[in-house]
Amino acid sequence: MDFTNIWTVTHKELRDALRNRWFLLYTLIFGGLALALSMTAQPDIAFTKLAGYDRTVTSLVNLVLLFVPLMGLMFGATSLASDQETGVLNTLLAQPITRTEILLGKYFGVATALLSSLIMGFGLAGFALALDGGGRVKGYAVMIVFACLLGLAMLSVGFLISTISQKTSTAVGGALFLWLFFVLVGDLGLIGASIVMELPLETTLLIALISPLQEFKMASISTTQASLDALGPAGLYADDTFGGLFLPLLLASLLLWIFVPLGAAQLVFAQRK
Amino acid sequence: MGKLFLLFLLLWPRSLPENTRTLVVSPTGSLTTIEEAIAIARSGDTIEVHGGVYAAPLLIDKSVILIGVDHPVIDGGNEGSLVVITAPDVVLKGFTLRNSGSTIHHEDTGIIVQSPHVTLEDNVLENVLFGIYFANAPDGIARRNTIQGLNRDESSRGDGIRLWYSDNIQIIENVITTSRDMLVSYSNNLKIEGNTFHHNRYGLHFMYSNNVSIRHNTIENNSVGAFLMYSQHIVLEDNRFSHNRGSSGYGLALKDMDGVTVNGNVFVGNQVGLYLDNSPSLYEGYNTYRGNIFAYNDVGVVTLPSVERNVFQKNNFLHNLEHVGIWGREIENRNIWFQDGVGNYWNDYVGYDQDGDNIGDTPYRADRLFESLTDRYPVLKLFEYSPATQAIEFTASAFPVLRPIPKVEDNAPLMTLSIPASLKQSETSVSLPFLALSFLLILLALGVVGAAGIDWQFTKASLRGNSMIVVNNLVKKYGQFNALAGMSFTVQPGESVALWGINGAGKTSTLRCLMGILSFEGSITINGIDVARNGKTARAAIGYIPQEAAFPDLSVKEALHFYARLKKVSSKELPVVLEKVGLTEQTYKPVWALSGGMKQRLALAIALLGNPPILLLDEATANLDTQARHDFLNLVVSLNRAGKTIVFSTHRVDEVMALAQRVLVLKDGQVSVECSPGELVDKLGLQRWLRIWVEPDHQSEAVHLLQQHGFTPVMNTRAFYVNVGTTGKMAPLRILQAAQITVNDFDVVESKDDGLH
Repeated sequence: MDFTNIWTVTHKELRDALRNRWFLLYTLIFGGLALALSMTAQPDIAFTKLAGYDRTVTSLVNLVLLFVPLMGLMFGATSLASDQETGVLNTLLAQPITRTEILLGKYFGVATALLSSLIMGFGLAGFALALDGGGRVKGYAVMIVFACLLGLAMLSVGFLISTISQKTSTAVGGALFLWLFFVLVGDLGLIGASIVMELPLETTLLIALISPLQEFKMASISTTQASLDALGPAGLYADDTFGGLFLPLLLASLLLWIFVPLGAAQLVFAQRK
Repeated sequence: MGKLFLLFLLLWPRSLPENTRTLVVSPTGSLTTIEEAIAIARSGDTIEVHGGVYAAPLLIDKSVILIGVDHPVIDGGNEGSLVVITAPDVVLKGFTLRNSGSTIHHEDTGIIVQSPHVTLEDNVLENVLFGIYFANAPDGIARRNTIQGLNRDESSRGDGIRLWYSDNIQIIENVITTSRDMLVSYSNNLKIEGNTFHHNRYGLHFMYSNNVSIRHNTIENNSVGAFLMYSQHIVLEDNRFSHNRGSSGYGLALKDMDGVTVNGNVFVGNQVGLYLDNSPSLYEGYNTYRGNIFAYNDVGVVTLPSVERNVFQKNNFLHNLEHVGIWGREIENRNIWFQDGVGNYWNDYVGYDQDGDNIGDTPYRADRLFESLTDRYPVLKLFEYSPATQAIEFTASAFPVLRPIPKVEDNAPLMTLSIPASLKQSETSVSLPFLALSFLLILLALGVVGAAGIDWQFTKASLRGNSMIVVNNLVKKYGQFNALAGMSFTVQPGESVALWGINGAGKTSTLRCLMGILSFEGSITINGIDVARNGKTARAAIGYIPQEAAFPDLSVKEALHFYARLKKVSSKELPVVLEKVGLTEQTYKPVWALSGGMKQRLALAIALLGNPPILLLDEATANLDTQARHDFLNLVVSLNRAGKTIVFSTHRVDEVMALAQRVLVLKDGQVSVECSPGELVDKLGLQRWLRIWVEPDHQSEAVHLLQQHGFTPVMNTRAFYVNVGTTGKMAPLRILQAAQITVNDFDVVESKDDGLH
């Protein structure tokens, strides 16, 4: 493994991404919405003594749940597929570089761009929160970390889609489908199943916890609000069952979501040979 | 009631004390223990206890006034109760009591009061199982005491304050923390005001206690703020119930409570602000809730399905995840949400107030579908904050048939919020840690953007010397299909070899195997390097030009720079290479703005980076126009002359003729023929036509003459075509010259239907 090669590709990808208008658009929208949410949610009540902070942070959680998976999946899905389609990949493969180096370089590059976009958004929102009195900084920081992990997980899934797809359009289609699945269809299905099949609480919780989005959500709620009771009996059950281990478990699970799809992407990409 | 009490006090004989004394207890004085002082004291005497540690348990069985000076401590050494008061009219003030026993069934307590008219003031109770216990002890006062229980599992703690059959008790301005409950049973006419209850199990826990005033208390961070049961005539005013979030997590819960008035309280951040179970319980009874704030709770007000006759007016409902919930089967809420044309303020009310009377013109209805689902299936709260819940609401609003029965119908919703002045925050303080974090984040993000522009120099990797290609029994399969079936050939240094064959003959596969970017069977050695084992190093010896070069969206210089770094080539080499391929003027152009020919030249430039000994061209001119192809080929020919080994695939004869020294004809994945370019033309039956122009007068003579020499000329208006194979182009011209027929002009074409070539 040649790290200078990886770095070279990373560097190029990062520059590509920062110049990409789609990327800038996503960053602007995410940053703008985060800032707007933080600014409007607070002064709505002239008495911040009542602590609107929690609610603001949870609306940021909602924003992350909608937006970050979309960014991760789209950037991931278009990364390799578009290079494959345009032939850039062919030229690149003809250089003294291995497929693993290309994949990792691209992943790191896009990931860096994605993360910088996210922390820019959280930074802007943080300003608004700070000027309004703020809240638990640690909780906010933990939420940012988990949002970044969620972004990386979705990016890995996006890369997997990208390696499987021959064409950019297929990859984008796949990414949008998965986005819809992660954000809506999965949860709706589980809500339906939970009602119709009268699933026990633990089952519902465990199935929900497969989703990286739910993992991020629970980590954020449990750190910004100190407990999961806002999520009803299932939240309390999680608190009681896992206790202090809950956060590390969520962390481990999100890391799996990052490494497993990326590993699979690497296998598929290597098989292309 | 209060007046009677005062009269009672005035008439009581003890109000005329005679000959009362002050005894002093201190570790160094004549009285060193409190017990000694009590033993000699008379009713009404004052005992001053000075700083120092005194042993528990202390029994106060005389009506004395005990005043602590300089914080005397009564320490129980973690055993038993600390102080027991059995005489009436005792005052205990200014003591620190600590370390009671911790056995629940012994009810180890800080202060046990078993007599009337006892006043406990300004005491600090630390590390006690139970705090203060009024047992059949009416008319007592506990004021400004601080009670801190044992910090252990909530259910195994003792009560901070316990009232048992003790009427007319005043609990004023105490602080109670880390205890189980303040438990009140069978005690009437109570005043509980200005206290702070935090981090207990239940702040207040009531049963069978009537006529109670609960005012100005702060009840926060308990599992449950206040749980009041089976009692009547309770007034709760101006209390603050905040962040009570335990397994039940109610701010205020009422069960079987009648005649309750709840006014001007703040319920904020609780799981449930107000919980109502069978209250009011009497058929004719009403409970009223006015001017309260329910903000940021998970649910503002929860009622069980049968609850009715609660009057809600002028309350403010703000940003609760759910303003009102009915837990259990879905039923129309029969509580009263407006009275005399005045309702409540709901922050999500979207109506309009045309007549400006501060009352919305259309009713407020709480009929969210997801809310009613979570009321029935609490486990679904797990999906709170998920976009799926918004999707459900959206669906319900699009299809009204899905909408549940409204839980609340407020026909006179208030348009403006009314918040007590005490809650308004005149200025918000800037949170410095938050500001610092935000700065850090933005700097980090900007740092990444900045770092992306930084240039890193890498040293050029050395290349190996031997420039020879050896391919042995090369096999490449795509599934069942054999693209290459045992191909073998070698290429000498400086040689230029064409791979010729129809589409699918295996040209591209061969080139890709040479670069080691396809897996294969057999062996390939490039420049002495085994490609299968070390494709990456082998590729350092290869420059590759594809049919249609594609580049990332960069400028010419940046693209070249990117590849230069992959090849570990110094950026100093870039201008040289650009000059070599004639792209110097295009250095700063974006790649997408280049013509096809220029892009191929850029591909050539990239291929030349690091001066690799071998160039592989995969139909590199296929998409170029005549001029561009000509220029490009010239460039490659000159490179070949300069010593580059070249392997290229093509279908064009002219390219083979111009560039190749040797041709490998591929068929079915094997080298079927190996020959010279000329032989290729012959073997393939490829013909050349000589197009000849002579004076019109000599045309028929010339045709006849050529026919005599065995040619078959074909007339075509002003010129005629003669088929000349590949090697005999001069023969017809010589024949015509010998017959003194002037040849005005001639050229060579691939077919007699071709234009100028």
